[in-house]
Amino acid sequence: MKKSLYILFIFAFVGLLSSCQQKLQDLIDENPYKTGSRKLNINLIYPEGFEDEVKAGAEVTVLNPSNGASYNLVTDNQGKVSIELQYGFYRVSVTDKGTPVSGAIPIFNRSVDQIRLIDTLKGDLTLNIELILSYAGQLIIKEIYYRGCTGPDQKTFQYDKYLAIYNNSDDVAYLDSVCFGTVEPYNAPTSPTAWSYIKDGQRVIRDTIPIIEAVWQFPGTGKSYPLQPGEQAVVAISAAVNHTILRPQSVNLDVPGYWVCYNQRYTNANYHPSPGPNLVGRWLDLLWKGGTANAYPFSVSSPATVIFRIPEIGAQAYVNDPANRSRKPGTTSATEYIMIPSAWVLDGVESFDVTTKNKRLPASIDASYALMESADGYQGKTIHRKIDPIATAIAGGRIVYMDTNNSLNDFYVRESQSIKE
Amino acid sequence: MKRKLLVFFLICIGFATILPAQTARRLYSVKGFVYENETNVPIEMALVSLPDLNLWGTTDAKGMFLINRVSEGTTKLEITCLGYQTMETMVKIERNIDSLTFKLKEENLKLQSVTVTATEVKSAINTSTRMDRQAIDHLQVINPTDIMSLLPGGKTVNPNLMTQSVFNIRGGDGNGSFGTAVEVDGIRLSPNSNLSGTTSGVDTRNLSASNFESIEVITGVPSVEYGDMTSGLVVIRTKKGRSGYNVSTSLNPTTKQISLSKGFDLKKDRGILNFNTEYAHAFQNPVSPYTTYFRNGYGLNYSNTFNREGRPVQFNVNLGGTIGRQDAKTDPDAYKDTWSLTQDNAIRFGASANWLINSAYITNLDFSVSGSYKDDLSKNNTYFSYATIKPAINAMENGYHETNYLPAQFYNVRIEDSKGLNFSANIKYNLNKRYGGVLNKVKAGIGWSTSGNIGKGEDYENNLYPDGYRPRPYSDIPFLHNLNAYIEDNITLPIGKTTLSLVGGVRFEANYIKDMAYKNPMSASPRFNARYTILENRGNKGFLRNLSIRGGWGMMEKLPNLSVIYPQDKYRDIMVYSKNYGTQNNYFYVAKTNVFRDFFNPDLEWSRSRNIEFGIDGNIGGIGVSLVYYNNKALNPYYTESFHVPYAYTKTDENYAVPNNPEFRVDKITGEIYVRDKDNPSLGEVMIPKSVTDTLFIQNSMQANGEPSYRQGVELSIDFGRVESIRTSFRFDARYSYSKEVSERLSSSYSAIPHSTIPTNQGRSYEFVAFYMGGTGRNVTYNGSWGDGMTANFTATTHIPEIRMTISLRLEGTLYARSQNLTYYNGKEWAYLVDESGNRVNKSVYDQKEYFSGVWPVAYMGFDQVVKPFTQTEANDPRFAYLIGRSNTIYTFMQDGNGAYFMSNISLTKEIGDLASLSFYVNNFTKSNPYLKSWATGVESVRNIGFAYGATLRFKF
Repeated sequence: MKKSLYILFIFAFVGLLSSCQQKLQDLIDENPYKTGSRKLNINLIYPEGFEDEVKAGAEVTVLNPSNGASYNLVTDNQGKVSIELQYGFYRVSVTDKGTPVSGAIPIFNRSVDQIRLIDTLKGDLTLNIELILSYAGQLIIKEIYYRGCTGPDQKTFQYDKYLAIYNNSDDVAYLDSVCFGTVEPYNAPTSPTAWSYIKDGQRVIRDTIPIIEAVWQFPGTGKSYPLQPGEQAVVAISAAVNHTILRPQSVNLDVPGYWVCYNQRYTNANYHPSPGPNLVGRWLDLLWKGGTANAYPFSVSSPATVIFRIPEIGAQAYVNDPANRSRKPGTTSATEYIMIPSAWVLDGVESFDVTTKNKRLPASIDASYALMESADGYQGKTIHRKIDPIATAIAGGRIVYMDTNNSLNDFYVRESQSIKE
Repeated sequence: MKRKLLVFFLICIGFATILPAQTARRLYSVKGFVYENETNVPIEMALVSLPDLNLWGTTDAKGMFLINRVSEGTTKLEITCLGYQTMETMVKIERNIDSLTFKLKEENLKLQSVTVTATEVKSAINTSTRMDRQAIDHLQVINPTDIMSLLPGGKTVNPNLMTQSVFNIRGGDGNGSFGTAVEVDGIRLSPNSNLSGTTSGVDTRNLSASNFESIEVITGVPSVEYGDMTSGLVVIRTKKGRSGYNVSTSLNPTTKQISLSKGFDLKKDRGILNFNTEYAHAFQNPVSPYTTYFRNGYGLNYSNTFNREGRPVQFNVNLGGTIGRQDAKTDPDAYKDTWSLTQDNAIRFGASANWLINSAYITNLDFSVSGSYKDDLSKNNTYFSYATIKPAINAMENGYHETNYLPAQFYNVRIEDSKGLNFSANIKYNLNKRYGGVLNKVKAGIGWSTSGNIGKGEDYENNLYPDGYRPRPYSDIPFLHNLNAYIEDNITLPIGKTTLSLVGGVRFEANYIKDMAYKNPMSASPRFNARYTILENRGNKGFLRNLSIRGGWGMMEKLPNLSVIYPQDKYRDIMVYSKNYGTQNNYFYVAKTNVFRDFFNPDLEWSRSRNIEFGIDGNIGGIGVSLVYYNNKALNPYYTESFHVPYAYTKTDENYAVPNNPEFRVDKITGEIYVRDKDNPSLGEVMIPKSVTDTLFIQNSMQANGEPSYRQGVELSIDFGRVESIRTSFRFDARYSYSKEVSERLSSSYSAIPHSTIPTNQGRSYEFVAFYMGGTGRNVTYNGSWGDGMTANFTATTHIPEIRMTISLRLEGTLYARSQNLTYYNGKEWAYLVDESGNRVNKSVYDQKEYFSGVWPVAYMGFDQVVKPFTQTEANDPRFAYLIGRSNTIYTFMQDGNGAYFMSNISLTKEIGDLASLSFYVNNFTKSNPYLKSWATGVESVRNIGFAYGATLRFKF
């Protein structure tokens, strides 16, 4: 009798210790996909000094990133608009242009992510959106080719990336000392960036943006490299050679007048072979190099590109000062980034490959994002600005591109690289 | 010290040989017959031995054995034969014995007691755990390392032929598994001739587990007979003896194995021929079964005893090997026309003769020779696609050279060919003498072994050598020769009712490799063991039935790998000029090469380990208990040390325009590059201006010895015996292990980042080398760690002879595991706390989760090569800011670990008549996968192995 109790005890012990144990879920599942709806009231708040810009007709876009449903609304003359929406998580973006003031056109932008319309809400959700002021600039990023192409050997190829900078104004612009870089992280993040914080229930991205790995700068003493109105400057980011010899779908970047991000610190002969003979003297200066990488990385799926100018104190002194560098918050890495106030940014483009990603650039630089999905990848496609028909007509033939600091409005996916024509 | 030991042992031998002259012993002969228990058929080639006297005899065709000149007294007698249960008994010899009769029982599940777990070898002087065929069958071993789960505290691993299978005993030594030795039938499998990888133990994946008769794991302080190891030895014996046809097949979701073996009796005392063959096929992913591993094993063994009536000679010849292959050839998901192929073939040969002379001065003489040849070939066809022509620097001399060129798009086959060869020859001498109750055994031997590699090394087809490749055929490396000699004395003294056994020995090793002058080629490893048996075999009654305590201390040495002791030339290359000219993406590249010739360290010592063991074995009220404590100190593991030297090079201006049809010339010494326009030759040669002269540090490395590390632990096994009423026996085993290592050794570190003050665009490199201590660096702030943990297993085995079935349930648990990083320099904490902005906080770094930790380099050096200490002055200077390390996490010095988790396995073996037997196992059959939270990071992870199952079917006819 005793012995069988022994056995029972042993088996019970064994069973208890090694039974199917699963991690207890103690989070209440918020299920936004139950049916039901709530009303979302949007209220626009214009920045100080621009309160009289409140008007009817400001464009508000509400998007549900997970199912792609999007609604285009316009405000009433109080700056308010309402909509009844199914449960879900939404993103609201606002773009509005103000009356021109001393030659510059003020632009009011904002984008708010993760607005939760769920069944535990009592009543309607009122959202006060504080708009951020920026100005449409002289030098803009006209086109970015980063998605690569495919060669005749059926292998994908992405060493032919380039960026086109365009003078969108009617005055001469100078490329001297203009800086170019990308914002951390290289690819659009799937969760909110560490450089943001929650304020009043909304996620706000910091006003100083972190530049990762390197800062490139156009050489020159001040007026060495003018860019006439309607002219563009093409910067080859990787290999500035004639790629069309081996890969017809690619581009020829060995053209006089182009620029190249080439510096002998980047020794990777795949990414940075010596530029073609037409690019002698057209190297960008490497102002700062943060890590030990031997090639300059530029995302092939979703880069956040910025061009900026460091005023007054001088770029070299600025990057040498350790106070202008910082590590990533909640850090898991010893890498440092150069922090640039968004007021110094001339133009920036945020690009995504999937709509559910999170932004890196604050709304003053880019209120939303340009979308090029992976189905469009490796086919020689680029993102390119749309032409602003009204402004082009006013300019009498010189092409003026749309610049509302909102890439979803301003950019479209172009079937092939514009420099091929 | 070495001389004193030698003298001591010579005296011992003298003592042992003089004594017989003083006492005339009476010698008798022992004769008898061995039959099968049920059928009374005589058993041939059964080994009848008197282990204490080291005398033996084998039965002939009639089952008769004869052992001559046995000294008077009572001694143990043991009879073993393949397929039968080993019989042990005591025999009293006071006159010539003529007619002993023994009946051996067949080994199958009809026996009353069956052992499917590991057993401690009681007669061994050190810790020795043995697994016999029944345990190997029940566990369904496919990879030899699967048996490690049966050792105290062992963890089960799901069988997997797709990864290497390396034995690692007690955590290894400072080089991990490299210090664990594996021997098959006396032939040592050596990793010393392996040049292609890191130092790790030998891969036993290609051994056919279906042919194993027993596996013994010897840890602690083994006899001086065994050398070239530091943590322990695994002895594998294959089947030898007469048997019927044995066919077995094993299956699990990713592996198939089938084997056949037979022992042929050549009749008329011509001996026995054992034959075995095995085929195993494993693949990684059942969904895409294109990456596969297969092995074909074969073995042939001939054994016979000659001169039975006089001085018998037991002769054995063994030939075995495998053909193994891992193939990814026709995977339709891979890029078009690419493939990879690995071949792993091995042949082992061994011959041994054991001559029982049994005279006054020699009892046994053993001669053995063995050889093994391991042929590893791997081929990879890869497709490369680049933007432009690429440079490939293959220069073998100092200076500036034009590089070789690789096309922008091409296929390349990389071949790695390794042919490892090992030979050894040994003679062993043995003298056993008994004086009254005192038994003295002297063992001595000499041996020679050599290992080398005659393969071609790394090579490429079509002369498309990649960047940085320099040919180094393995056949250029000379063979490593080792001469060893050992002597050991084992004396057993009865003291009243107790017995004291003492073993002491020393092993001398001398190593030689052509053209290398190492200062310490010879060494001596002394080893001592003692066992004090207080009570022995008090029968089956009483509380305390057996009790003995034992201890040992010894030095062990591991020979290095060939790649450690025969270093290769090292090349450091820097590109100085690259130019795209013309319209078709033509390129011209120049690089500067620096050659470090044959850099070896004459002070390199062989890795040694000091092992201590202490154990208690006993039987308390029918429960067998064995408790062992071990303490191993790995003295000087092999370690690659790096050092930096400044190196200057001049770059040429790539911005200078060259003609469209140029001809270049490089000056090897000055690095000046001249260009001539082929379309306008009259213009002559123009020197392209230099751009920048930069100095940086380049790294070279040499083999050295690392810091000592400590491993301690306690192993416990309790055998509760069999509870008859439920036919179940229980066994509990547990293991506690502790390890610690701290390194205060400085190693240099350099990053090729831009200069600290000169603007980046000017292309100058960073000017300081930092000397960090023991593994610290820019991201790592600790230079040591300690860890401990405890695992326990409980096995219940139910054996029902009437239905010929055994079923075992094993509960495996990890009770806890702890580890913590340490910071230590000159007795104090070296790392310090910093907050997010980098300000120092004055508290201990240990056990806090608020702040990060920072660490300074201990010293630094500039281009003047003067090493200066790193002080607060440097810490405040922004030029050195890059060198100061900071941890990435706030929990670096928190004590980490996890709590308990358990799982259980079940296995079953059933014999179906005399013809077949079926085994089935399920690992983690309850799918217990609890999430374990790490105490330091809070991250939860699953530690248990996944649910796995398999079955084996065996036929005997």
